[in-house]
This record gives sequence, structure tokens and C-alpha cells, in this order.
Amino acid sequence: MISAPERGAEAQTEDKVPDAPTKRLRQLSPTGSQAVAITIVAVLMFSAFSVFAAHFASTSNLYTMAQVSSYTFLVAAGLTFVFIAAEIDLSIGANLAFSGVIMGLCVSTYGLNPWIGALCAVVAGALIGAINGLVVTVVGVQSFIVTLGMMSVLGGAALVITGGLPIDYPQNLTSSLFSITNGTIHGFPAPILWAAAIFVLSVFVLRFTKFGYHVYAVGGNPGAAREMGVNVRWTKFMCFVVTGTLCGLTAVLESNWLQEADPGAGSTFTLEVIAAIIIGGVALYGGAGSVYGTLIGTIITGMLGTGLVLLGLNANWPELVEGVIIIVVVTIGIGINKRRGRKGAGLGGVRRLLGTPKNAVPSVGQQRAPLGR
Amino acid sequence: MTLGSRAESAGGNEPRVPVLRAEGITKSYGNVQALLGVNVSLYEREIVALVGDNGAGKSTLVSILAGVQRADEGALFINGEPVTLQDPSAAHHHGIVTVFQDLALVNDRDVAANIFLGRELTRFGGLVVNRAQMLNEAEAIIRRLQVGLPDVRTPVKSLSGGQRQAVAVARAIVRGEARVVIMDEPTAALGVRESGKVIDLIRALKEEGRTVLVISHNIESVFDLADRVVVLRLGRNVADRRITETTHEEVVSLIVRGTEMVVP
Repeated sequence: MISAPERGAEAQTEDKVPDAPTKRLRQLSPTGSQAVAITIVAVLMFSAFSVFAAHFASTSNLYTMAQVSSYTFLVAAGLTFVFIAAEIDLSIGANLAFSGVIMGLCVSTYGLNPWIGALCAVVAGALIGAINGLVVTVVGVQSFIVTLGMMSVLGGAALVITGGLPIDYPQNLTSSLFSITNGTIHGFPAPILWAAAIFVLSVFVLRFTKFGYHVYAVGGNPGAAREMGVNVRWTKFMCFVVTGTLCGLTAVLESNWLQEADPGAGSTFTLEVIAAIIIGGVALYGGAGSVYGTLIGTIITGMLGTGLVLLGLNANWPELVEGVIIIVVVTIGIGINKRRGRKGAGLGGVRRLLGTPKNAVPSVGQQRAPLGR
Repeated sequence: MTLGSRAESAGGNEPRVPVLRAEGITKSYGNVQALLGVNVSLYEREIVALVGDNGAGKSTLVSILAGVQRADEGALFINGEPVTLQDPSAAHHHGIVTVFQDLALVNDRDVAANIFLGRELTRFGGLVVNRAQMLNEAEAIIRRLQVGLPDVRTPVKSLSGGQRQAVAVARAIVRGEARVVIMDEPTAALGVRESGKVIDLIRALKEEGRTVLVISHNIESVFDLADRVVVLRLGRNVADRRITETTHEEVVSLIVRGTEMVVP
């Protein structure tokens, strides 16, 4: 199992105790150094846009960007769990639209209290995540396939229910809910505060809880995790539930902001979120990455959208540039992994994205079926 | 091959009860007879090498001792008491831990996280990981095993082969009382220097009073390391020798030709 390049690296990692700076650097790598790198990219990008794009650095634009990015981040934080666990969820955008429609139905068609509508929407999102998770972990279908199917089902359902038209909230609808979902709290737009809270919570869960440790282990080497008593299925299942719940929450926040539920809301959202995660350096092959990286990735994609438009480019350009950045980032990532001796690690991610059977990517633990229990 | 003679061969004056004894182990896969009445006894504080050619049944025997597979026939005894090992956790419960060749490490995680994988130390009701305690205990055990590791916060993927082996062994022995450590080809993928480190590691385990069963292809390291060598050929015992009473040539001949088993 020790591949040739890894053995080649032995010579450099003999057990001599490295001096302090090297030690610190080593502690940083790889996630740490990657986080530093993309933070620098984000800062440079911000500076460039501030200088060249008029109004980019204005307070109102910053707030708008932050608010829009908050929605992206809320879902991206959840999807980070799924990615680290070496799975994927393509149904996030459709989940967002569907849960939003549930919210809209509750407050408009059924005239329910917005609080109850919000509860229904969040539960719907969580249930969708649970169904994804169940089919992936219990039935054993590739998450790419399951969530691709779920994307169509939900997207279709949202359109069927609404006839393709947004559901407007009743005029003059007021609720204490709105002040915490789309008002401002001490001058800060509520969505930004939600994003901040979810950021803190998800960093805490991933880095400091047993569940977080297991998410990394399950994505890094499912066979080893299983052998050591980690409940691989439960861990992956919970990652999908977390993502679904956050989709539901985001649907509530966004619908309340717009005072309407848009069944088409999710069409470009999925790719935006995935782009943010990939730019943020979360491993395509699972087992590595951080919520901080995802946050920076979200900020970068958010700045690109607004910044390029403010530079005077057509609004269609950001998507193109985003795509180029993804390709560049992934290419660099694969290059780094090859240099580090993780042969085929990047390819594994690509294969996973294409939905080839998991066994086609022989990960260490999976080779030994008898221990699989 | 009586118990008494084996006990003496393990170095004691009084006949001792083996820590782990496998008796008459038979296992077949369809028409393939993997093991046929194999006996192995492991005594306290002893390093035993299990050698044999490909297809000799070493891996099958290991997976039975590890609780991964069940034998068709035969019995296992721990300190003289018959036991059945339904699964690996039953083997762990009885103090038998196995380090497989793939080591089952999570490459992107650091040494401490790997050592405590699946049984992370926690506080506040079991939810929050007690990182400080994990680092301390990981450091302590790595120091005890006398393997040079830069830092328990180093990701496992940047360790050398010998160091990775050490992490896997450390993980095996922090899981409760590991009286018997079974190591499957621990030096197979390693260079000379790294193999030397693993051999030191195995000696350190013995020093701590544990019994080690090493599966090896490397006759050189077997003679370097083991107190006793057990040779399997085509699923049967062919020899069980104290290392001081045999030679490289004899062991090789036993592996290849399966010379008549001689009771020492």
C-alpha cells in the first residue's frame, strides 16, 4: 500500500527533529498553508477590485455582497461536511428551491404563521438530506447518482407545485420571524449574522468534536475508519442531513428576504456552492479541507460576480471566469498532490464525480472486504 | 509436539501456559484447503515469526487469530481458556490486536488523530474531543515505543514507512490490554534502515511484556528478531524451531521443500 513515491519521500522525513520554523510550517501543511494561500488570493482580489472597480468598496456594495455570499456560504458550510466525507450532494439548489416553496405554501396558500412555515421548510430540507443520506449509505447508491436524481425530482416538484411561478408572500405580512431572518440586528443584516453563527458552529463541530474527527476519517479512509469502530454510514448520513437542514434554513432566509418563494431559485446555486468549496481547497477525494477554506472560497466567488460586473463586464462573464478558476485550482491541486506522492488522488475525485463505483478507486481499507462487517 | 517441549523451547524451566494457542486449525475455501490442522502456541514475552511461501496459509491463520474469519475446525485458547472470536472486537477484548499490512491509517490526519481513531478521548459528555489529552497520551506512547517521530501533530502521510508502522502499532496497543500483537509483513515495503526501526519497535513491544507474532517473508529479519520460528507449508505445520537451534538454510529449505517436522 505504500506507493513508490511515498517511499521516496522517506529519506526526507527521517526522524530527525526539525528545527522550530520547519516544524511550524509542517504543522500548517497542507490544509494550513492552503488556507493561507487562498486568503492571500482573496485579499489581492479584494484590493484589485477596490482599486479598479468603482463603488466596489462602498459600504452598501460590501453589505450586498456579504448578504448574497451569506446564502451561498450557509449551504456551502454543510456541503463541506459532505465533501470531506468523500461524497457529493448535487440536490442542494433544488432543495433550496423546494424548501422555499414549502415556506411559500405555508404562509401564502395555507396562511400559516411564518414561524410554522419556517419550521416546515427546515424540516423539509432536513428530510431531503436524510433521504439522500439513506439511499447513499443504506442502499449503497453513488451519491452523485442519488443526488442528481433528487435534484430533478425536487426541481420538478417545485415547478409542478407552483406552476413555475414564484409564490408571493401575502401583502403586509408581518412576523417576529422576519426581524431575525431578513432584518438588521444592531445594524448588521441578519443573513450575515446567520452565516457567522453557522461558520463558528461548523468550524467547532468539524475541528473539535468526535463527529468532526469521524467525518475526516470516513472521507480519508473509510475502511480504516470502519475497522476502528467508526460508524461510517451514520457519519455520512449525518453529513447529508446537516447539508439538507442548512438548505432549508437558507431557503427560509432567502424567501423571507425576497418575500416570495422562487421555484427556480436553485438552478445556478448548486454550481456556485460547489465552486466555492473547490476554490476553498476542500479535497475532491475527501478527507481534507476546512470550513474556513469554504468561507474564503465563497467570498472569492462572491467578489468575482459583483466585481466583474462593476468593472463594466457583461453579467454573464463571472460564470465563465469562475469556471476557469475552478479548472485552474483543481489542476494546481492535482499537481501538488502528484508532487506529494498522492498518485491519482485528484483523479479519484474526478472518477467519483463521474460516479464510477467506489471500488474502482482502491482506497486502502476497501481492499480488505472481510473486515467490512 | 507436546506442550511441555514447547514451553521449554520458549525459555522457561517450568511448563508454561501459552498466552495464545491455536489447535488443529482447519479452514477451506470451497475446494481450496487453506489450513489443515495447524497448531501454534505463543508464550508471554516472546517474538514468534510465522513464515511460509505464498499460499502456505499464513494470512488465513492471521485472519482467524484476528477474529476476521472463523476456522472450520480447531480451537483457540487464551491462557488455557477456550475462546471463540466472532469478530475483530472479540479478539481485541481478549487482548489480541492485529496490525495488517495496509496499516489502515488516515493519511490526511495527524498521528494523534490516527492513534485515537474511533475512540477519541472526549470531555463534556463525550461530544467534544479532548485534544490536549490525546496529544499527551499519543506522545507518551510514541516515546515508550522508542520510535523517532517529529511531532504527533504531523499528518501521517508525511511519515516514513517505519514511522507509519509505529503509528499503527501504537494505535493497536492503546486499545486496551494488548497481550498479543500480530503484525502482518511489517517490513515488507520498507528499506533496510526503516526495517531496522520496525525491528526495534517489535523488540520494544516484547520489553513491555507483550507477545508478538510476526508474519514475514524476510528470513534475514526473522533471524534478527524472533525467538522462535513457525513454518507453514501448503496449510500445514512443517516446523517450530527456536531461532538459536536452526539456520537460514534450514528455514529456507523448510519453506520451500517442507522437510519433515522435527520436534526440538
